[in-house]
Amino acid sequence: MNPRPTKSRSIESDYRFSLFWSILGTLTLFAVADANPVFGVLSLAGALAAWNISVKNNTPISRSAINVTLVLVLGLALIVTIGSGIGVSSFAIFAAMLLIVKLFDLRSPRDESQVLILLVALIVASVLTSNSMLTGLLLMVTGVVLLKAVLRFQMYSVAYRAGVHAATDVFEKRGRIDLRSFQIAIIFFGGVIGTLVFMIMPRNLGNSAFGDWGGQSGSVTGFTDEVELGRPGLISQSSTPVLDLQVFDRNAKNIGQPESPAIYLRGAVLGSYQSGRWTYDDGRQGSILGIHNLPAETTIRPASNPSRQPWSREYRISLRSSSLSESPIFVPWLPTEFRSSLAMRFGYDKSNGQMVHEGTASLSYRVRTINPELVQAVYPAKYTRPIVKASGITERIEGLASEILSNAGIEPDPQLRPFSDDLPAIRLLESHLQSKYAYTLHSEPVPAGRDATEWFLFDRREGHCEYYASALALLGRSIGINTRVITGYVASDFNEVTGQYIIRESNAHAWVEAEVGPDKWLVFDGTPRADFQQIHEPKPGLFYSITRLYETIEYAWVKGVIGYDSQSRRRIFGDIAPDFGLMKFGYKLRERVGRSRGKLVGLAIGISAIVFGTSFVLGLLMLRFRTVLRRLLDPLAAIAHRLLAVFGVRSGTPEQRAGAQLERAITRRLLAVGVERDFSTPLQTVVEASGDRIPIGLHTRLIDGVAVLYKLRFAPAQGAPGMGEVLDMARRISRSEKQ
Amino acid sequence: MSSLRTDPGTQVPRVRSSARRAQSTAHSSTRNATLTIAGVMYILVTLFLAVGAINAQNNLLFWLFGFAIALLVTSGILSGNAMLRLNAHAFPGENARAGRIHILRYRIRSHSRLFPLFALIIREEETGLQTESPGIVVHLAPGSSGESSAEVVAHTRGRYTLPAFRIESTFPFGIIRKWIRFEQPRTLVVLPYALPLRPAPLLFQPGARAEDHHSKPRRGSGTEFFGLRSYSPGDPRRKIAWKTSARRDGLVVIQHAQETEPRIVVWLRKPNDFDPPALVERAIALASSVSRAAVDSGYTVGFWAPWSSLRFSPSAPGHSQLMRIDTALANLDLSLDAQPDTPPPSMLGSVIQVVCQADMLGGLSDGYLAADRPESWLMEGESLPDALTIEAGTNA
Repeated sequence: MNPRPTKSRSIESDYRFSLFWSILGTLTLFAVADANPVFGVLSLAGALAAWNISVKNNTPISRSAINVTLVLVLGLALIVTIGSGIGVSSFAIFAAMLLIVKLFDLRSPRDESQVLILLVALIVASVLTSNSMLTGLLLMVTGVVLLKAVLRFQMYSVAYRAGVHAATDVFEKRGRIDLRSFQIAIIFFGGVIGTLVFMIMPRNLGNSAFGDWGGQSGSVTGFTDEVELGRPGLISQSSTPVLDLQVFDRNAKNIGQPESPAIYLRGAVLGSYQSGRWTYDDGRQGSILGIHNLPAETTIRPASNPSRQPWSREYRISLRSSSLSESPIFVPWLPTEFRSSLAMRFGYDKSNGQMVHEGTASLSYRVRTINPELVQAVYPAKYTRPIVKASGITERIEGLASEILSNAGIEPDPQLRPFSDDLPAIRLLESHLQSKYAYTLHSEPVPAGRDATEWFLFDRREGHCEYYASALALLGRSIGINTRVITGYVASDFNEVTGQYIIRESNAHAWVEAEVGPDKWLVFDGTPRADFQQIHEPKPGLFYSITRLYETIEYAWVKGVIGYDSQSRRRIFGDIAPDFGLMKFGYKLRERVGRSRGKLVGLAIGISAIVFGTSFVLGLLMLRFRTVLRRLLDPLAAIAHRLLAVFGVRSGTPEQRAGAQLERAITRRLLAVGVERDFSTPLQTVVEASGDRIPIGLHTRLIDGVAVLYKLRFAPAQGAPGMGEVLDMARRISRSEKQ
Repeated sequence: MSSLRTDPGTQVPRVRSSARRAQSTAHSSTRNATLTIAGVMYILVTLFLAVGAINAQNNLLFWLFGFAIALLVTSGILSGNAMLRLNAHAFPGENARAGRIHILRYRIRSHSRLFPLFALIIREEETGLQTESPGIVVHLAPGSSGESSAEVVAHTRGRYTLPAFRIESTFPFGIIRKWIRFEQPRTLVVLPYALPLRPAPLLFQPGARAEDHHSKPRRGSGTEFFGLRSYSPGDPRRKIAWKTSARRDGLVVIQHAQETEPRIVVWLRKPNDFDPPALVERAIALASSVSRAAVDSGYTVGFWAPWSSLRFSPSAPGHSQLMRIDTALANLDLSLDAQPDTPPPSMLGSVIQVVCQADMLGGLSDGYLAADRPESWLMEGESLPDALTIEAGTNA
């Protein structure tokens, strides 16, 4: 299995050893980056089989079998592409299949170089898929091994030219030492220069002007911006980190604590309920009415702060991986200031504090909030409660809410209930749900014809966070309190070493915001507290400790590599890093492309397609009808020559014109005796081959003519024939025609 | 097969830089670098990475882009630096034979004290020779020297000029082809093809039998009896013919005849103007091969082609004479004005005529070999080289 060479390594075995590990490393890298164990297992098994069957024994399979397999691979790639669209994953699968097929077909250094190219393609695909620490570490290891393989391939291919025995010659010890030193030097210089380029490259230019390319294709998982009861929804047991969060007070002191209350990070604000589904407010295609370019370091006030409360908390949030399409920005309630170090396409809705971004794979931002509990509700003189949406409120739900409030001595009728009782009323409903219902992650389909929330409240009486949020929102609305369902994450896992909260996929959650006064929205969560903690808080143990250690290291990766931005750049280099006006140009270009992106891309594709298609068709036609074309063009060329001659315009030097005259005379004479000249065959060959069809005297003259012509054109240095000789020959051949 | 010998142990003695410069400029050399196709692809992929990184602000892509740039730079600096301090010498080669692999040898020396060199390829420029395998040096340690050899094949006889050779390398990544051109003009004489001929007795019979054309016996040191003469002081006693001396008045000694080899002259007849060039070349190769076969069969060979001023009487020892004939044939210029073709004097020995076309003589006869009738002289099962058949096949 392992082609470990002996101590006396030949150039070939040394190269093959590196290639073997490069293949395994690259396939593993993509499997890890794509979080696709099936890909990993299948591709590694295929590569190992190909290696043992074909490469190790140096027995490539037949060309016809390779061609058939390639057709199958292309077909499969087409099916995958049609099924899941053109994406990095489908490309990588295609590349891996090609790689395995190619391993069965290693015959020459050219084949080997194709394998190396496929490996590079897979590495690029891995980086496009994920930028997690594990991917980064594997990338470095695989990169070094691949580098080693490429260096050895260069030597192998050179030795191969001298013959197989040279490639299998033992590579002397000193050579190996020198090569190793060279390799270390390249890695060192490569690492230093690469890191410098990485640090100096201007940031803040990107806004995905060229579409959803260049970033991670994965989206924030666990979270959805739509709630559909009866489906798994936000249930995710994955511990994959999604966000990093640090909390500071006004004195910039990190105030995160392990035992602190959970922090709700709102993502989607869903106000519309219909048949068990919570969606964005009616009439909107997306979450936000408009998205625009937001320059870096611009402060936005995303939600109203009528009482002008000073901010009390600052949250620094890093979104590890996000979709490049429109995605929510996760912030705690109530955000009063939002600031990103990265320019992005940004949108927000001041009425509900919803924020979104677009075209940014990883994001770091700062949010300052006020405590919504401390917002003073200012009631206008003629204040009336806002009209709540009635969709989904059934008599039974209304009855249940009335019963709960009546039992507690609170007036359920909103017309009669004082405004100050709204907060206790919704708290009462929240407590009722927390105490009377059971939490389960087991999902059951909603019976046909039943409203999902009503079914949960009166029949099933158990469910997960989405059911609780939906039930609380509808119960609140049934007593005249404006509510909305929020989906997002809840932060409760605090890392004391790094002073940050880690938010994982399993922290996805749904809860409710209710308006308990004019523009005073508070957070309520009907999910039972104990179950909530059990689900969202980490379970201590050895595995947890190891995981925590890994995450601590990963945090450094995220901060240092993934989170490196223009601010970090400025911190290191100040404003002295020269960009030669690149930033200004980049901004202008970005604006221009951003304004007419679709038109530009469409135009470029259209023009390219037209140019390509026209050239292709013309090329085919020229190939197909080259004889016809020649017959058409030759007379035209002759007419053009004559016209030019009439006007005294002559092309070429006198020697060239004399040569052309001689060639015309020979060609014409050949045609006269029925020999059609094929212009892909040299004139000399045509003349010599037509000896049996031409009278011997004429044949000799034509051969002499060709000899003169060739001497004129191809061997002028060895004494070109005089102009007189050439023209005389042309005249003699033409005269023989007349005779 | 090109050899692969390096001599890492041979350290270059430290010499003053001016002396080294003088040494390196003994033959002029020029340096250059070009992008390979793989290099163009590499640059496109690097730009692709840059656009992707800027487009999505993906930091890992930024780093990968940086590393790609770094490899491009280090590829030029690390590898190119050592190439700058490379010196090479091409050995003047011996004569080559058309159609056969000829070895060209080189010695290269690295004056770099730091950077080793890997994967070097040595090739000749603009020679008209076909390169079977270039010279390669897999590894050359800093300050060491090594030897390499390339294999070339010439398909036509003649005098080839090898104006320069270049040492190139695409190491380490195949992105940039760096090369140094060493202008060291050399001349390579390519002898005519050695054709596989039938055994000599079949070839030379019956008109040119060797035993029919012995020259007149001469006195010498052989074993055959030549005659008797009177004894002279100093003659060895064992040469005294005692019985004859007893019958005569004085002492007589026995004289032996000189052992002589059979003599033959290969007469390459003047080609006609209408003979296809390939057929003429075939005749020249045949003449050369016949000469060789004759020498191998024990003849003293002469060569006769007065129309091209080639006249070698069968006097010199076999293989040195053969080399003279071959070299003369290699340099034979058919474009020069031909002299009259006259037969060789009969005193030179028996004659084998080599003609281009049998028709020239009105058909084949004894003592003639016609180039257009290979079935009469080519060894069975063998075929003619392509260069001697392509055009000739249609015209002859």
